[in-house]
Amino acid sequence: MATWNARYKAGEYTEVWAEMQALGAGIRKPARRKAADAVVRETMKRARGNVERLLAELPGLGYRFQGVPEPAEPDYPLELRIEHALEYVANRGGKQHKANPWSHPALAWVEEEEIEVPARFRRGNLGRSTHRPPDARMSGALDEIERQTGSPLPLAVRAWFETVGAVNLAGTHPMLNPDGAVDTLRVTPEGIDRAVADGAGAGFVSVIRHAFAWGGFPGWSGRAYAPERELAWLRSKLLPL
Amino acid sequence: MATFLERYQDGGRVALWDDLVALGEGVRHELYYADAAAVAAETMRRARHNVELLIQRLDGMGYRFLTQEINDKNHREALGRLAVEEAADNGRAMAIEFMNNALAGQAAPLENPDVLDRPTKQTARQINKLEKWAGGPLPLSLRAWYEQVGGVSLLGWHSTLHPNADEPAGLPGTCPDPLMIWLLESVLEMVEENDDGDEEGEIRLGLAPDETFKAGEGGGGPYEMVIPNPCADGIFEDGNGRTFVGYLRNLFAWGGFPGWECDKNAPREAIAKLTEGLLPI
Repeated sequence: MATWNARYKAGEYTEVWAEMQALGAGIRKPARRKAADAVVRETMKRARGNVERLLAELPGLGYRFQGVPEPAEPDYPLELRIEHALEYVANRGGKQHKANPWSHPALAWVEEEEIEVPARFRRGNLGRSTHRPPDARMSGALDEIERQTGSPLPLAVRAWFETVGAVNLAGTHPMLNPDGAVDTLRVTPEGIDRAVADGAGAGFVSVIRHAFAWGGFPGWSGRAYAPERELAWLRSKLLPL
Repeated sequence: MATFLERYQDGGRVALWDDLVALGEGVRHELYYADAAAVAAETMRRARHNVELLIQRLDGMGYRFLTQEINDKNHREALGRLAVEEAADNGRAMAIEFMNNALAGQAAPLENPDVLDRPTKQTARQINKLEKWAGGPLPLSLRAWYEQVGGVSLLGWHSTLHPNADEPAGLPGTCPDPLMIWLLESVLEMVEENDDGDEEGEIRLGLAPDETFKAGEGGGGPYEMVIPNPCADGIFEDGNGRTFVGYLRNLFAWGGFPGWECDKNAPREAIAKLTEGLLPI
């Protein structure tokens, strides 16, 4: 008898998740948990790959992520603080922080204070409102939600934030998202449905599967005149999950 | 889903160009480039048709096409006449006499490279040279213009469309701003003359003299576009903030003389004759 994960990898995506979901909270029993975790890991590995591909490909198509609007006037105290810290890391941070100075403790406050770094410092990289990779702070926020609800988050939900992070593809593009009016893939800790019962999280997986089936733009589902050329191209870059 | 070219040909031209511009550099993505370049080529094929029609119609209306040099001399003569207060109706006769002498033996406008200098097999090499010098591409619109149309000059004299300063209709300050885009060879020469080897970043590419220069009154800097620009279109800097395609669209709406847009004394009847049946771009 093939394992859930073997069946999942063979293409039984919805069937395996439905079986896991049917166990309810029982999915956490030791006898099932290991097999379930393997499927969750594989699913989220694919999801992370899909998100990374979308984040990499969309700007090339001319997609403009919404981000936080740049202030009309630069926030000089913030910019000077960032410049000072970057200068410090450049001079004293050592080789390991050359490629990514933002990982140096001298810039940890940027993440801690949830600062949206001005575009000129990001050098083309995405802002935190578009993608925030998993970190300890995000894990802490999930712990807090579980504490408040008195129940663990569904496996898939927790794994998403620990593997993929927070994602919001809101933005504009003349075909894919005219005037930013089309619903996009958006999964953030703030958007967690606290009413969802414990379990595998097949409902959540179904939602992100749907979003990826629409190239990250589930708002086109059921709409006329979907931009098929762009959606087909995006879909071709994504793995099924 | 219709292609860009199908959308353009179906009539959504303005919205389609807005979309192409909104794509930014994305227009060069493999998903879009060929389709967008086809739209640019079709747009400029229509522009060429319009330019040729305007030249023919202007010729039929007695428009005298002038080179920059003769145009300047004509305006100097007119200003000289104004200075000695010669009668305005004499001014027109004297201008015609001056031009008849200056233009003797000139080729028909459509065959005259001073009026329309069409692309040649050298054009691709010249565009590549310009892009190499700029360190990046021209916007699709400008590239397509030089591939489809070339150098154009509607500089000249006409008693109502482009009169001299000493004529009743040509009050000083009238700048009809006739269509003029320098030929690529001249643009390249200017680029090479101004190249001090230190150029980095964006470059302001002069494409035409400004309206006052065309009116023989000296003038400021040329109309320019910033290059390199990997987008579908860029701003044609004539002071109106329009893209190059937007500039051409407005220009054709004014029969090739967009300077009349801001003049309540515009010769609307002559302009209506010129614009009738022009292809929308």
